[in-house]
Amino acid sequence: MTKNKLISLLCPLAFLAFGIWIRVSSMSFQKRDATFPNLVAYVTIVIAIIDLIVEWRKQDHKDRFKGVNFVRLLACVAAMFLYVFLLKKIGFFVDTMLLCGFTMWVLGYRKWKVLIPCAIVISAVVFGVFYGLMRVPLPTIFL
Amino acid sequence: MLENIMLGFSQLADPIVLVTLFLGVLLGLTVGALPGLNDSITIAVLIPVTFGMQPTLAFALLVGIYVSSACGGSIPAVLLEIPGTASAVVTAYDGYPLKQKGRALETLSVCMTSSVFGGICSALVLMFLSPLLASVALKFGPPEYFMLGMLGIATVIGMAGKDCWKHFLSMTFGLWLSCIGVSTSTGMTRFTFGTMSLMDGIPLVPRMIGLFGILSVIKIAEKAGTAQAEEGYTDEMQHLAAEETHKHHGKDKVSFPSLAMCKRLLPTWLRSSAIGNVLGCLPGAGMTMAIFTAYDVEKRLHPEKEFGTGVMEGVAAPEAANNAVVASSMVPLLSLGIPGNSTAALFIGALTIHGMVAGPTLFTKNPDMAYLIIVAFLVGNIMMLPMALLYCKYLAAQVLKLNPKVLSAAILALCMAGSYAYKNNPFHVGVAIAFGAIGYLFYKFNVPTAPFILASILGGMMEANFINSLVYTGSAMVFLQRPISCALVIVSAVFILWPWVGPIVKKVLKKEKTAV
Repeated sequence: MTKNKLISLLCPLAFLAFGIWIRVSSMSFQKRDATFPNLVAYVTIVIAIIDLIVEWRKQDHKDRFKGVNFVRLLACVAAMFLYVFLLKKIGFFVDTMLLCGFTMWVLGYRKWKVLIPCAIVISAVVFGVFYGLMRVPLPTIFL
Repeated sequence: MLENIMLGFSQLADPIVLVTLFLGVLLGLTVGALPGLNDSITIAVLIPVTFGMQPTLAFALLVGIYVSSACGGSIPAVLLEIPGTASAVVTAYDGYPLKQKGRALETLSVCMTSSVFGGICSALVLMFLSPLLASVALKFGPPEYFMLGMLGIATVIGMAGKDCWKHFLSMTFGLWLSCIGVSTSTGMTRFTFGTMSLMDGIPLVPRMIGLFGILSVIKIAEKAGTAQAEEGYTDEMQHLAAEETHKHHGKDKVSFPSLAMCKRLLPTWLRSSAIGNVLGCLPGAGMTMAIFTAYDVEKRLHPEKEFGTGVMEGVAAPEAANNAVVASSMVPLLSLGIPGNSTAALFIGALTIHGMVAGPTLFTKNPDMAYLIIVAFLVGNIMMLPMALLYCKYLAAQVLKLNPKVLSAAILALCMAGSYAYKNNPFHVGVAIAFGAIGYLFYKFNVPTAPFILASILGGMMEANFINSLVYTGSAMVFLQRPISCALVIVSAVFILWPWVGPIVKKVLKKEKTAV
């Protein structure tokens, strides 16, 4: 079995496991609450098995992750989750400024003289619109 | 009905509302012109911004964006052969060869005029068809509503053809998502993992921000620094675009098409608008299907013209069709509560945060808002023609200079602030990021997000009506015993089974023909 075929099979397998998990989880629900999730679970399991067979029979499997820059992709997603963690600790403005600057850098923008002012301006404008105009209580450390 | 239409016009006559609609149209043209951005991303990001706005202003802004973004997508399609939005893919086939012939600005003028023609036709369909459908829908009971939800999902799956299994899986994921939270029938919690934040389920707004806004940034990040990314929208190309738009200012100019050109394109506009309207009303069919169908029809009707080499009909057809889909996709949403496409689905979120419910009751409980939205589609389209022509003349070149990397950072900042503002809870920022990641995995494994979005929106309504139908009658046969419900069962089955049954039917008909 080729690597690409194995990767293609991951999707129906994940849905199969997901369907079984829904069915098992809904066992603890009352009958009326379990009716719809059970229906969803059965459909998921049946369709996942069909999709598994379809993917297994396919002759050519393309490389789904060809040309993907995993380091930058993971760095970008990790920075977003770190942003959530730091939001209440360092405040919205500083947190967003760091995220914007880091995102531009990760995406390949290397003009520092533009990158830093852009990060500050974007954060300031978004902060001004949400905090100033819309009165959204964004987390702050100074105000 | 006329009284209500006048009510809509009177609401829109407020100068502030008109200015907001104008700004929405301008913003829509801009985001449409920027490759990588589209109406869904912008509306998803801006819904939280509309929290503090008056509902009239909020919907004028959102309608303005939706009306014009498909039209804006044709600008880079013609100038750079890079469609600004998916709806402009076909426009590039003939638009770019026309540009190479030195007719870029004339082509853009035809694009804008065709878009406005299609848009006005669909706004009229929305104006007269939605209230009629809504009045019929008021007579529906639980079995009909459940089957209506099924029909919405069936059309989305049916459009996929034989390769529909991933669509089914996407749908089941969406249906499961709608089960999260406190059950409406017993008050027990389901799939909350012991988290208080999940008691109300996963809210639509952060989910959409993740699936559109954050996903767009992740998609750029995955190709960052690779050769593929450099082949795309580079700085040099932006300058080239700016130069090109100015180069032809001599003979080739932006203006309303001549009378002869209008006469020539009128049949194309009418046919393509009709195609766009029909497909727009069907949940799931969407713009892509409309533009390809309209282009294909024109190709068949003009065998003497070599499409793909710079034929004006090849530009006018997809442009009229894609804008015809815009307002008509709101017909099932406003009248039945079923969104015609992902962008229309976002309007459910916008209505919800302003305390309204999409569906037939919108016309009885909030007729002012229902008709404001309808009238805004018409006025927005009328407003768009001069604006789009001026936009192409003066602003398009400037917009194409914007750097997508800097733009991504701005989108991300708006996504974060928007999802936090939903309930002032960092948890919802996490939800948006998680859905961005889920959307990315779906994208990589070719699992479409449209059935998932539709099912997650309709799931709650479907479950409640499914349980109610069974409780009242005690039998699943209730769906076949009531005439409207039974008809919906048949239509849903036809949509789902057509990819398999269709070829057999065609074979039988062909055999009969040859026998005759």
